Amino acid sequence: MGLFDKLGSGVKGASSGAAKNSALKGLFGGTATAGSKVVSGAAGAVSAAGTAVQGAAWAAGKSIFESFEDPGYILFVAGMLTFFIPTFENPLLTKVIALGLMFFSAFFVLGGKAIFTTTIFFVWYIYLNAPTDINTIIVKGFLSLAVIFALGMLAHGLFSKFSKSRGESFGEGMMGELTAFIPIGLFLLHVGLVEYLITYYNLTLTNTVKILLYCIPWWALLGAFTAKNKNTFVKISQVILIIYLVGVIAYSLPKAYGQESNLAGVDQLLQARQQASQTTAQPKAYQLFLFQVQCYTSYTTGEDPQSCVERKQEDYEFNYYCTEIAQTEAETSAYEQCIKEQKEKKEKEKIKVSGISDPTIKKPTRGELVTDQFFPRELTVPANEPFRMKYPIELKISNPREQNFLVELKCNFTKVGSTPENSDSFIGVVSGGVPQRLSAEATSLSGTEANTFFVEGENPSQSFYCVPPFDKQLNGSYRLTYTADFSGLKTTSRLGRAFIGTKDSEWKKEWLNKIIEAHFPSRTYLSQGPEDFARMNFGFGHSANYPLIEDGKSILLYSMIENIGQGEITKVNQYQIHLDSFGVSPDTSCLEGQNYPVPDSKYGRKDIYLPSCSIVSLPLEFTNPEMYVYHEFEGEIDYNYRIKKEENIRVVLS
Amino acid sequence: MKTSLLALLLVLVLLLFSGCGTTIPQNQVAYNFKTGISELNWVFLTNSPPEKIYPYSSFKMILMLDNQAAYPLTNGKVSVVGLDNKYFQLDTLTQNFEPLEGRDLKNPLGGQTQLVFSGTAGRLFTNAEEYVGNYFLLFSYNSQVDFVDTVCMNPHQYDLYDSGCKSNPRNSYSGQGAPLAVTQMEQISYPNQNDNGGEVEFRLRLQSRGRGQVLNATLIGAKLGGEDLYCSFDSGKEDRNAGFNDQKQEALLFCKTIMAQESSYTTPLFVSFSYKYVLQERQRLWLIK
Repeated sequence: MGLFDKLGSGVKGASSGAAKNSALKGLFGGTATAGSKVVSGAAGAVSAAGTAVQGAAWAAGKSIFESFEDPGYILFVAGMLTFFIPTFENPLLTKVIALGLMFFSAFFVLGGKAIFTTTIFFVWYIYLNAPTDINTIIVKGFLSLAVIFALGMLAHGLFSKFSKSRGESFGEGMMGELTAFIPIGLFLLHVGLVEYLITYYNLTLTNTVKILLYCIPWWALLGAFTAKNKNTFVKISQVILIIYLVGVIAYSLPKAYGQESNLAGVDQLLQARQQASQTTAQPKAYQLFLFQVQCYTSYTTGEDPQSCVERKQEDYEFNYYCTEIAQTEAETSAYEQCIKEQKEKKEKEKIKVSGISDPTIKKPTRGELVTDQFFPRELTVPANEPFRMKYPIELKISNPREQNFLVELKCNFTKVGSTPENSDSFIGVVSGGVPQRLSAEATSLSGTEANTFFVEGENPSQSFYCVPPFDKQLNGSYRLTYTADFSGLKTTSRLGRAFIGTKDSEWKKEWLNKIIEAHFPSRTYLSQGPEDFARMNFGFGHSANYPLIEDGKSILLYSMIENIGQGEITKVNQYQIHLDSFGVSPDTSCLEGQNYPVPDSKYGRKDIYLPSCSIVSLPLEFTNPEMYVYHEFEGEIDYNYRIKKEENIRVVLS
Repeated sequence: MKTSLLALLLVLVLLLFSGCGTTIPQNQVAYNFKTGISELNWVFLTNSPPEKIYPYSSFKMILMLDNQAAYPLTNGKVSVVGLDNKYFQLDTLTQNFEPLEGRDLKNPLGGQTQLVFSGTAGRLFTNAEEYVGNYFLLFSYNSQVDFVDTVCMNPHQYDLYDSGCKSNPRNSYSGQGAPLAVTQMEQISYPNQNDNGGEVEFRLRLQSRGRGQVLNATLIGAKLGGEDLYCSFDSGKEDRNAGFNDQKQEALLFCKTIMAQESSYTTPLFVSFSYKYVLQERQRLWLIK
């Protein structure tokens, strides 16, 4: 039974007898008529040729049409379309397409073998929203998947046992559900599992693996090789796909890599995919493939093809950034300067010191501006009665370490449609909510007005209003921007290192792995800190991420401040890495500093690189221990941070 | 059929588990302590250290040491390695312990002792909920192991008319009550050319079979029927050191002697070794808010 039969009568009608014939006649009737009219001179031969063309065209057309009765072929076509027409800028559409292809594969392509597991997966992952915390995912995500598969298999087994029409045994029904790995896996790949891991968990992929993941139309592959109707077009499609696959594989010799893979919420995955395609300006799949082709002969110029591809990829990213984001014109001095800055930035990133969120700290210091359902987005006011509407907002602060810091609140109205040249923007008045006592303290501390308050306590959330100034009457659409400037936030990170002194190779062979397993499981060789607005990532050792330190070998110290929140770091008041009694060279600016300059806000203030240095001497207790010494070091930052919240409002004067 | 198989499997499992006990038999006089693989056992006393340690609190780690080997232990030492003193400060990281008697008829339980490591917990990192401090307990001590067996000395192995003993070309052993064990002995005898007595070579396979590692395994002495036996770990030259290290935990000892008598006889073979033993055990302390 064909797919259309299953889908229902409407589809069935469209694909059946008369409709099919009329459609085919419409398509190929012209060719047939032309062929039949050639009747002179070498009429016999021409006529024969015409008939042959007509026959071939008819057969081809018939093949194409018949192919569309095959679910495998439909998946092939749909897979190719989604491959060549990316939809990642529209998360909803991507989600719908991925879900559609997943269910289509499970129901039709795999013959309904994986219906139960796929459906349960859908309910768990989409409807119940999958876990997003990575630690939860590792433990619960895979356990949940195991439970989903078990439930799906059991349900299908029972269904098969009691359903006579299916003619399956309990075991056959159960085992069939295992094929759900395919649609579920391809769904996760489609919505951006790989990009998510790259973005949030620093999964390192070689270009080879990237090409294999991005340049292969996986849905189409599944469709082409599950197509049951092996007519000419299916065979041609398969051959093309095989040639394409061989081409991709030939240009990307596989390299071994090993990383943990984890699941994440679908929205996070899509967000990661969007980020990967937008902010990092990564080449599209076909461009990567093109680079591979272009670099195939780079041996002749003495350049390794892999380096050649990486270089081209970097050039592409720089060019994209400077032309599309920084809006400079190619081959101008501004463009050259932009490219130079990007290259310098990239060089710094190559020695980027990563850090991870400390899993033992469940409550970070964060703040958020939140509007609720009472926020008056649209308002009609009498034109003859001056009316000053108060726009409320809540500043929710989580301050689990009970830090003392200042927050300054501001708001700003910008008329929608105003241009930078003809700006209609004015500052609002912040009022209400701020306790007088705190205001007074804050005022005495900061010397500013009452919209500044001094934060203390664990959850000092605060509601306040933004009111337009007296001399301004709102009329029309405005963008209302709330700003909260935090001053004097402190975040501390920690880093473990094991000092082994001078040991022979036998000792190292026996102990190095044991020490790493005991003290540096997972990625704890990286510095760890709370998920505050920002944190310091630092590392030192013979290489930044190797946690064992021998005596007498060169040791480098790197550090940076990573902006984890959604706002921006406006000032680094102080930073300090507590490496007491360590000797550093050339100076101690790598260990401590004040009022460190922050990069221009146009670069997003995502990463602020701090000075690096060499560690030239270790404290005595770390130089030559009998076995080894494990110790944790702390690095802290004192910084200012700005968060914003924008709301569109409209005031109609009646 | 399936039921029978299940029943058989159950019986086999029960047999397997019943064979895992380490109880001392009632009839101690007949019990040979110098058999099998035994070594120093250790355990923390209950709640020492406590399962959860709170910041700035004091705690004790009380280690109960129990010599299950059949030989005395000397130069015993226990070290705590890998604890970050920021979180857990111990008064001392290394302690020596007194010699412990081996298990024998007079002392069937073996020597026992306790070591106490006193400590204080530090603070947790900022507002962390917990900290897990992994560390290693390193045990080291010196001990010895004796190998005794009765061997048949027969220069005419294949002589049909010798009604005496028959030498066994290869014997296997489960151990001699220590972590270092002679696990196999090969006996190679051959008559002299003038048919007057013969020569015999014993090849003893020495292996570390315990949880830890044997270092500095050295031959103390070897006797065959009261006479000193020439032995070496290197068949070419005299070498009394087995050359055990972190990676090499096995060696062959070659012992040779001349058989003066023409007829076969049985006689005891005694070989004794000394060794240093090290054992690492990974542990953890849990500091909690």
